[in-house]
Amino acid sequence: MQIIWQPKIALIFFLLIFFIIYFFYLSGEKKYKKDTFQTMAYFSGKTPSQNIKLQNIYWGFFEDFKKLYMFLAKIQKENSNDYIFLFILGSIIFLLALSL
Amino acid sequence: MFDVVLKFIMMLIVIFGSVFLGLFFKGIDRILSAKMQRRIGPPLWQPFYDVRKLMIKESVIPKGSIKWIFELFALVSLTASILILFYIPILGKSILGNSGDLVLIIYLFIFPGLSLVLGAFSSNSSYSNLGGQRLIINMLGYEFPLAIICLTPVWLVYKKGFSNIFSLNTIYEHNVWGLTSPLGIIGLLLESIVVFFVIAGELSKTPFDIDTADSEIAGGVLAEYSGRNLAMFYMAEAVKMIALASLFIALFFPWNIQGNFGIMFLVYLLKIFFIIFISSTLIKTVTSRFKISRLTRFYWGYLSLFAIIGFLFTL
Repeated sequence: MQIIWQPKIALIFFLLIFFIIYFFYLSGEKKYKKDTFQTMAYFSGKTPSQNIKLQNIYWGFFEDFKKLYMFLAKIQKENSNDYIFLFILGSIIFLLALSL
Repeated sequence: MFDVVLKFIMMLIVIFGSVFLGLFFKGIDRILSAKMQRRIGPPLWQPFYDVRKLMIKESVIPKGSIKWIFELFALVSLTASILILFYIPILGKSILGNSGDLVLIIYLFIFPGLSLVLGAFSSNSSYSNLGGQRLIINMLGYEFPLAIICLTPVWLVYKKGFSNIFSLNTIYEHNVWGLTSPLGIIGLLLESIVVFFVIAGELSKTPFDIDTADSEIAGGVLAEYSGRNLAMFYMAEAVKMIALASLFIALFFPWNIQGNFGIMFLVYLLKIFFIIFISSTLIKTVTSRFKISRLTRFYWGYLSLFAIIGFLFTL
C-alpha cells in the first residue's frame, strides 16, 4: 500500500492523546503561592542586568569550526565577482557530477 | 465501528503502556548505573514515586514568564513523544504505519526537544535560556548523523527494488542485514555504534547533557519547572527513550522469535533493554560531560564520519 502523509489523522490522534494526558495533568496540584519569593526565577548571585542574547546560540559552532571560519573569512575579498565566480564554478561541478 | 473501537483500545494501551515501560526502564537504568558506580541506588519503582510526588507538589510559574507557553509545551512534549510510537511498528504492527513514514518520524522526534526549548525560553530565567540555547546546539548536532543512519536502510531497501522504501513496515519486514554484502554488514555495524551515541544525544544523557548540566547551569532547560509540569517532561523523556529504542529496533534489529505474542513481546523488551543499557546506562556512567565547543565536532566530525563510511560500505 502506498504511504501518503495524512496530517488530519496525525492531528486527530495528537489531540486525542493531548486530552487524555490533559485529564491526568489536571489531577496534579495547580496551586502555588503567587507573588512570593518562590516565583522569582532562580539565579545564584547577582541577577544579570539583561537576558542572555540569542546570538550566543551559535557560539559552540563558531568555537568548534574556528579554523574553517577563519579560512573562509580570509579568502573572501568582499568582491561580488568572486561570489559569481564561485557560483559558476559550483554549478559546473554540479552539472558535471549529474552528467556522469 | 469495531475497527474504530479496537484502534481506540490499542491507543490507550500504547499511551499508558509506553509511560509505564519508560518509567520502568528508567528505574532499571538508575539501578544499573548506581551498581556500576558501587552505589546501592534507588528502588526499581523510584521513577513512579517521583511522578506521584511531582503531581502533588506545587507547580510554580515563574514571575515574568509566558504562562500558557510554559504550561502548554510540557503537555505537547509528552503528547509528541507518545504520538511517535503510533508510527513505529512494534512486533511488526503500527497503529498509524500507513499514514506516515520514516521522514515524518524524524520530524516528530524534533517536537519533544523543541517543546523543551520553547518552555525554557518562555520561563524568564537566565539558566533556562542558556539551557535552551545549548539544547538547540545539541539538536543541530545529532540530527545530521541521525539522518545518515536512517538513510542507510532506505537505500538498501531501494537497491533491492522494493516499493514504499520510506515505510518503516517495509524496512522492518525486510531485515536490512540480509540485503547487503559482507562489506555492507561491516557498514551496518559501524552505523549501529553511531545509533547508540545518537540515542544518548537525543535523550541528553551524559556526555551530551549540556542543556541540563546540573553543576553548571542548575538544571538549565528544566531549572524553573516544578510539580505537574516537570512530571510531564519527566514522563516525556521516559517515553522518548522507548520510542527511540523501538525505532532503531525496526531499522537495525528486527529479529524476533516466531512464537506466541508473550514470547515475542519479551524478546522486544530484551532488545529495548539492550539498547537502553548501552546508549544510556553505559555511556553516561563511563563518560563525563562534553565542552560545548567539543560537542559539535564529535557529532559532525567523528559520528557523522563513521555514519558516512558505514553508508558507503553498503553501496
